[in-house]
Amino acid sequence: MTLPPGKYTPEEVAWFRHIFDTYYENIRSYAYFKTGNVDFADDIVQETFLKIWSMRGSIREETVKALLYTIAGNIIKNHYKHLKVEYSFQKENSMESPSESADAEVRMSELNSQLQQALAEIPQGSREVFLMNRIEGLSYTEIAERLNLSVKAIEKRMSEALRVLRERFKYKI
Amino acid sequence: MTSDNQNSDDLNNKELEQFLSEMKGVKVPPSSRSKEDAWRLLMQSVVEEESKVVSMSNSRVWYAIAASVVIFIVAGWSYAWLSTTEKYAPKGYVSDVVLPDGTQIKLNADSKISYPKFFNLVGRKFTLDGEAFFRVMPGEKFTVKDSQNRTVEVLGTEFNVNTRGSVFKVACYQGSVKVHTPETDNVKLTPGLKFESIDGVSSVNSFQSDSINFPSWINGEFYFEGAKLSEVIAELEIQFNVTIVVEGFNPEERIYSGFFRNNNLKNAIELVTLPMGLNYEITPDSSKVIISK
Repeated sequence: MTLPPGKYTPEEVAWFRHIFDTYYENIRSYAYFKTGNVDFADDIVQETFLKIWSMRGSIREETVKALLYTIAGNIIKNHYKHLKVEYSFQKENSMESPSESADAEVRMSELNSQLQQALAEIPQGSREVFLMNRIEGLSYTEIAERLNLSVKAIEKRMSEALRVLRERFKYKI
Repeated sequence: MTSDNQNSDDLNNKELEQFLSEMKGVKVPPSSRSKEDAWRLLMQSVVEEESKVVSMSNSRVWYAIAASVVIFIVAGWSYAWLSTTEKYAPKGYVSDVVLPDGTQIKLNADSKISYPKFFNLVGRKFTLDGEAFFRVMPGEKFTVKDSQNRTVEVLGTEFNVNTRGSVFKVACYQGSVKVHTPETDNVKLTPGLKFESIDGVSSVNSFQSDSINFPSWINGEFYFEGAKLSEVIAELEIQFNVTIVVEGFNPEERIYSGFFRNNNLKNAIELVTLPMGLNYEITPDSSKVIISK
């Protein structure tokens, strides 16, 4: 990548690339958990990183992570309100033979509608924590760091999410 | 995993456990662009941002500012009026557009929509080539027109517009819309009514939407009732980005009722061809389908 004129150094670009490489997937997932829309998530990622770039002079290394999530959260709050969040998750390694995948697709669409209904009942704050933990596999400590919350608060949100789910499954069968 | 209240009975937990374990293999759907493309796009924006802040440092700065204010007002005004945003959903993809006022638009595959960049200033005027579903936020007048000057006018509602080729179809799901075409004017649609103009012949009919409050293509389902097979084939080509060749019969003359989903080409082709007693062949790279009698 050749650098056009501007007030920045190759080191800054290298730093930026590093941040991007490290958090791109995380921020995209976070945006997806909040909006349920892949296209929105892509746009939010772009906006978030652009904002981080414009702040590059005043960022300390240890705050980058939480800052990225805060910025993404704010963008969503400001530009993506009143959304009807409709998730459509995918199965990992969905490259199977056609007959298998047709079967897997049916199971996946069942799971998706189950997820959609279950997740809709979980309050937003708890829902994203739950998804970060269950789908991204982040630990409570990691989530706390990212969302700038205490581990206690994360535990509380997780148990809220699980309580809602438990409640929901009680009436099934 | 930390303790999740072990006091609820085992039966519930089993259901929940199974649900949670199934969730483990689930991931966020992939982006339509690769990570590398996302980076490239990002650097493009960075470069644009940076070029805006090149500094100027001499006594003529004030003249420059005064001059640029004038230029900006003139340019800004014409820019606001003239510049448009364009979104295109390629074949094989459905894409979402959200506008600053909260209006949501779902663009069907191979459809293009353009609108003023500053529509708060200029007005909510959209030009559509293809098919889209609109969930309009209440507010100023909202119009959608196609290349042949057929327009739909609304005030906060949910509706679908299809402007493929000679076809012009509008279905109203909520609120009300007004349709104008060169042949007819001011047809008012209320929820459950659809307007169709095919080859210049127009009609208003009711459509089934049961409990569904959006068109089925949004879920990747395509329903046809008494449609020309050529129309069905055109939709298949768009949804799967394939070329379909017809041999030994005229698809304009065959009428099809049924549906297909856009997730599996073979299934979809079968659902269309089998009931009509037609044979099909799909090339190994899935780029071409031959339908024959």
